[in-house]
Parts: sequence; structure tokens; C-alpha cells
Amino acid sequence: MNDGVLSVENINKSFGGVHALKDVSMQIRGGEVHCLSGENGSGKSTLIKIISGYYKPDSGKICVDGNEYREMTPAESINHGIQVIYQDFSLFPNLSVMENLSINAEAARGSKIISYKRMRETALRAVEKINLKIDMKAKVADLSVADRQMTAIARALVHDAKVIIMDEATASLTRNEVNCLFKVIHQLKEEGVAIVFVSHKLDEVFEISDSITIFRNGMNVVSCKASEINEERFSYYMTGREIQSTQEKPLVGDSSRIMLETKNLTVEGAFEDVSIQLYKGEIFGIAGQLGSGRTELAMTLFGMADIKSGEILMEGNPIKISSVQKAKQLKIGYVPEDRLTEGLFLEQALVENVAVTHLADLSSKAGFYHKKEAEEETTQWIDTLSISPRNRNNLAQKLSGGNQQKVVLAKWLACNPSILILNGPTVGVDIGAKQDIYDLLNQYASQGMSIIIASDDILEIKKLCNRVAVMKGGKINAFLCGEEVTEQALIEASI
Amino acid sequence: MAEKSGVYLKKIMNDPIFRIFILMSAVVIFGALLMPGKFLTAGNMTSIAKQLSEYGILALAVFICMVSGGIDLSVVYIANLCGIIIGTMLSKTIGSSDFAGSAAWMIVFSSAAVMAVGCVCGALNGILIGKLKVPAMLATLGSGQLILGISTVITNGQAITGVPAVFTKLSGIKFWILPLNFQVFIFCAVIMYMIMSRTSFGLRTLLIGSNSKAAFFSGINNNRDLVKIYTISGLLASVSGIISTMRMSSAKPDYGTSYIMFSILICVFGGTSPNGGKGNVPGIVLAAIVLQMVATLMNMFQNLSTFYRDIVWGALLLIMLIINYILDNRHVTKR
Repeated sequence: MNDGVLSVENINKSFGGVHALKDVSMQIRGGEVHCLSGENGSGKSTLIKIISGYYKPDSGKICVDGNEYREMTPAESINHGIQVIYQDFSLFPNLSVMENLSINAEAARGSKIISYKRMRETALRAVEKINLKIDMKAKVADLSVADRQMTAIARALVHDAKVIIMDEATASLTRNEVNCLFKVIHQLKEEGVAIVFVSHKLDEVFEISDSITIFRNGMNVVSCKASEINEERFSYYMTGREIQSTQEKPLVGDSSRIMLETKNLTVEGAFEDVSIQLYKGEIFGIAGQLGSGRTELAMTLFGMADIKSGEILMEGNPIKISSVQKAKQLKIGYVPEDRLTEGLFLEQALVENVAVTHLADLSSKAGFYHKKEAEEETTQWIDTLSISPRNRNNLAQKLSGGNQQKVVLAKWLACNPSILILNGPTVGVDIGAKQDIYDLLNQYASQGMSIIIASDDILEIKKLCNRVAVMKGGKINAFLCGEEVTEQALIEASI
Repeated sequence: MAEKSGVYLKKIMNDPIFRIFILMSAVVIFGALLMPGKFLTAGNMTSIAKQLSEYGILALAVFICMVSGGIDLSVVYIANLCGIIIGTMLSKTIGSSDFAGSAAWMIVFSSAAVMAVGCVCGALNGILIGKLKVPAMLATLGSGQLILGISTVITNGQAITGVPAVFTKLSGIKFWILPLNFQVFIFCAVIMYMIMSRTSFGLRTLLIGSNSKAAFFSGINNNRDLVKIYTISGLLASVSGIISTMRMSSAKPDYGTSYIMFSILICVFGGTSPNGGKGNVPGIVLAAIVLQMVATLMNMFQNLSTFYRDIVWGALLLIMLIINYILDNRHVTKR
């Protein structure tokens, strides 16, 4: 019965009245990559936290190495070789790579005196296991996201991990970096390590996994070999509905009306000589990997950088976007890359989260805030964007990633912008909500809004954009238009 | 039905104001039983009201900064500087008989001048914190020290005395059993309540405290609002300085330095999150009243050594803070 390294049987877990996991069973074998998928809030994270000993299950059991547990402590979990790499990697940003790799092992020795020599050896051993080339003295804060990811994996290996659980490991990686990660995963697999790969990026899931388990509403809806399922069924299992894209071809826009234009725009240390044109009613793509300058370009258009040279024109008139306030006045909206730290007020209600961008419109001249008006408006946006649960007084932190992103969208749509810039609009958003957001963007663009999407998600760019500027190393490497926008071309231009 | 009332009860219990209210009732009943005819008297209530007003207003000043995610450690020194200035102005002018006829005008004028000084001090803090991005704790610690130094130079380190009686008598004005000082406190609290709950500025303050980065990305001018926030804090501190000089008929640079700690405790006690983004004015008012009541009650036990009083005092505060913490985090299973 327990041929797996790790299995859970009939796990139940409730938080208050919410039944987060219902009778969940799952088996993970050594040397396999097991993909755990499901929309946000489907219970993936809860299960991971039960396996890592963070939560105690209400009922059910966990079997590791033939031992049965009703519940596990984090220490037991680690001792059985279970390592979890969380989305934020849980590294110490102010310490060096070497210290990060070895500090847990060093602390576990219980010795009161730290030996840097021993730490260095521990760290080197871990790095060798995945052939990672990295500066041991570099501070983690200064590393790229990909290097941080690799550091986190190397750290997991210090403890002779038998099971490595990667929670949304690829969420902030570029395609290139994902390939490197996959190489490492293959190598670990050959060594007999079981990998639980949590992701809802379809292409990656099919590329890497041997088995797939999909959660929906706290239940295991399917567990099978990756070869027994196709993308369509996968989406269906995840959402419980058939996803149909309503628009096949990206919008073309009105090339006779140029809403925004940059001429030889240069921002020191970010990008140089960027000239783009944004038509009315189109979705313009800025593709490019992390560090290519796409984020900086998007932020510059929202008034967050000092322009060194070049100019920005709006409908033919030169303008200066000197501050976020100025950008807002010019009817430019910006959906930031990281909705948790830059987009949302997590402990505030949806009403305040939506109202924040246009408080002046919701207040009298004397500055008195019309709460009723704001509430009614929020209710409308909840309906328009089908945000669930449909309660405007919910705190933003209680929503799933997709719904949170819709709230960030709502706060800008409520300003009625003529230009909306989105930076990574669907990072960490589940398939269902992703499609909703795409449909929305298409709908607003066809009504005349001009939209810029900065993203490293090639499929997303291909799906939405008729014209794309591909950035690389701070410069525009290629312009693609219409039929030229293919996955191949996008990848080639960005690496 | 029973379940519904249970949910309702839970909701009330989670309201910090309600918790403080319960505690206040308990203190009143306790005091009335232990000290019959002494605690629950109009005279005692008046003195409680008089004593709490100064640091009650300081707590309001700290409160708005705390809601915005910062703190203002300089309020006491601003208040002292303002108290010194108004004391000096009045003793130099009204004191000489020439101006006696226009004493009322002189009081109004010097109050306004001192409030302007408070605003300037606050704005300075705001600029340090908003524009120059100095952490609020360090900025106000530094500016507080600077202001203390200025006060000391002005007064040569001595207490200002000889504040005209015309001015100090004002604190005797009573509405029912409530002295003028307390009326000023309540007036400030009402204004602050209006600002925090009815204006877009109040909401922006809350949002900046909740997530300043998201506020910035939403087009809020954080810097400008922070200057406003700390200016209000400085203004409130100056008001506190004025009524303090009025009550004590003197002022000195390092008067009431323990008030800063007390103000912070009132804020946290009243349900203001030290991390920002959460807080309400009624909570501050009730917390100030409860704390002064407990202090007064303890003072009534003559044979209780001051040292023991400190223990009781500190323990009570910590217990309340722990209860607040537990109740606030009850719904979070494990974190």
C-alpha cells in the first residue's frame, strides 16, 4: 500500500467554517516529478503545510518511509527528508549565499561556536550537487530571482532531501531560467529524489511532470500519469468548466490615432533609445525577460523614473510624466508587477482598495469622503469583473490571487483611464481568472482604451498583442507585428 | 437564532472599543466598591478628567502618526517648547499692567503663535520622514532632542513661572463636572474623529499606513500627506502644551517625559496597530480615561508603595496588550 516515499491518506482540514481539505489522499514515489495543480484556494498550500508540519490535520494520516503519523512536527518532517521551497524562498536576504546554505545545518549542530570553515564546506557540497556556479560571498539580496531559486534548492539539498516540494517555483522565473531549473529537477530525479512541483502553468506542468494531481475546492479531483491527461482535460479538472477563449485574434487598434509615443527614450541604468507607438484601442506588448528593461519602461511611462533623454508624446503633444500623480492626471493607469506589495492594501476592505485611486472623485470639494458612493461603485465593479466572494467589505487578503488581481484592475478601471499599463497582469493567477482578465482587457481595448502589457509570459503576449516590442539588455531587440508574433520569434528576440 | 447572536457577540468582542468599555465599567465598579464615597465622586472625576487631557491629546498626536505607519516621539518636547513659549509670552506681556486690558486678545494671539510653532515642528518631522525617508522613530527621536535643546537654551534649563493668573484661571472653567482641559481634549478628539473617518485625507492616512508602496502606486502623494500628518501631530502637541501650562501655571523643557511612553500605550491599548493601517479615535479616548482611572485608583491606596504601584501598572498594561493580541489573532489558526 505504501510504495511511495510519501503519502497522505484521507486528510481533512478546516479553518473555522471553511473546509479547506476534504478527504484528500495522494501518493508520491521516489524519483518522480509529481505535479500538484489547482486554482488558488483549492487547498494545495494547505496540504503542503500539513506535510511540512506547519498545520495539524483534523483527521487522516501521513505516511513517510513506512512510518505513519497522525500529525507531524516541522522537525519530524525535516528529519524524514522533506524539504519545502516556498514561493518567496524564505532565504535571509542580508546574508551571503554561503551563510544561507549552511546556517540551518550549522544551527542544527547545536555548537555554540560557528565554524566558517565547516559552513563553507557544507555550502560547497550543496552547490556541487546541482552544479551551481554562484558567488558564495554574494548577498542573497543582490542575486537575481533565478539565482535565489537555485540557492533555495541547494539549501534543500544540504539536508539530504528525499522529497522536495517546490511551491510555485517558476512564478517569477523567465523561460530561460525555467529551463535551467528543469535540468536540475531532472538530475535530482535521477538521484531518486521525489519532486512535488506546484504550478498552474500548463506548458511547464506537461513538460516536467511524470504524474499529475489536481485539486479543486479542497478535493483531489484527479491523480494520474501525465501521459493520461491532455491540456484540455487539465483545464477542465482545474476549473470544473470548459474554458473557451472568446477572441482568437488580437485587436489591431486604430493606427491613425497614436495615443502614446516615445522617441529615443533613455533612462540611465535601465534602458536606452526606446521608441514605441501605442495606437488607440490596441493591446501593445512589451516582451522581455527579467532585467531586460521592460519593467523599467512600463514604470517610466507611469512617471516613476527620471528621463535622461528622449521624449514622450501623448496624442502628438510632448508631455512630461514627472510623477505618479501627473500620470494619473493624464489618465494613465498602472497595474504593478507584484500585487501583494505594490497593488493591494491587504488588511483593508475591497471598497478602500478600489476607491484609493480616485478618492478626489469620491469626495466633496472640502475633502469629505462619500463612503456610500464608494461602496456602491465597488459593488458595481465586483459585478462587472465577477469578483468572488461578492462582498465589498471583505478584506483583500482573503481573496484568491485571481480575484485580488481583478481588484487591482478595478481600481484603475474606475479611474476611466485612456491608457492602461499592466506589468505581468496574470502572474500567479489561475487559469479561470486569467481568461476572465484577458476577456476584460480585450473588451476595454475594443471600446477604445489603449493597453500596454509588459510581460515575460510569451503565450500571454502572443494571445493578446498584435504588435510587440521585444526588449533585451535595455534595448528594443525586435518589433513584431501581426503574423510575426509567434512563440518562436518572441523567444528568439528575447534571449 | 442562537448561532446568530453568537456571531454577533463574537463581533462585539472583537471590537477593541467594546473591550475597553467593559474594562472601564469594571474599573468604575471596582473603584466604587473599594473606595466608597471617594472614587465615584464628582470631584475625583473632575481631577481624573483634568489629568488625562494633556497626554490624551498627545496620544491623539501619536495616534495619527501610528495609523500612517510611523510614530512621533517628539510630541512631549514640542508640547513643552510650546508651553514655555506661551508662558513666557504671557508673563512678559500681561504681567506688565500696560496690556492688562487686552489680556484676552493676548491669550488668543499667543495661543495661535504657539500652535504655529507646533505646526512648524511637526512639518519638519514630516519632511524628514516623507521627503528624506528617515525612519519615523529616528527622525522624531532626533527632532525631539533638538527641540528639547532649544527649550533648554530659551529657559536656561529653569522652569518658566509667573504665568499670569488670568490665563491659569481658565482651567477652572467647568462644563458640568468637566474642566476646560478635558473639553479641549474632547474637542480635539471629535475633530480627529471627523478627519479620520469622514475625509479622504483620513482614508489616505490609513492606506499609507496599510501599505505605503501600494499607496504610492495608486497615485497618492505619500510625501505631501506625511507632512500633513506630522503637522497635525505637532499642532495637537502644541495644544497639549498650552493646556499643560494653563493647568500647572509653569512649564519646563523636560516636563512629563514619561508621557511619550504613556501616549504610545494609550494608542496600542485603544486598538491602534503599531504596524499602521488600523486604529480609531473613540478607542484612544476610552483608553486614556481607563488608564487615568486605574492610576487614580491606585493612588488612593495610601499604603501601596509607589514601587508596587509600578509593578501593578506595568503588569496590567501587558495583560491588556496580550489579551488584545490574542483576541485579534484568534481567527488566525497558526502563524
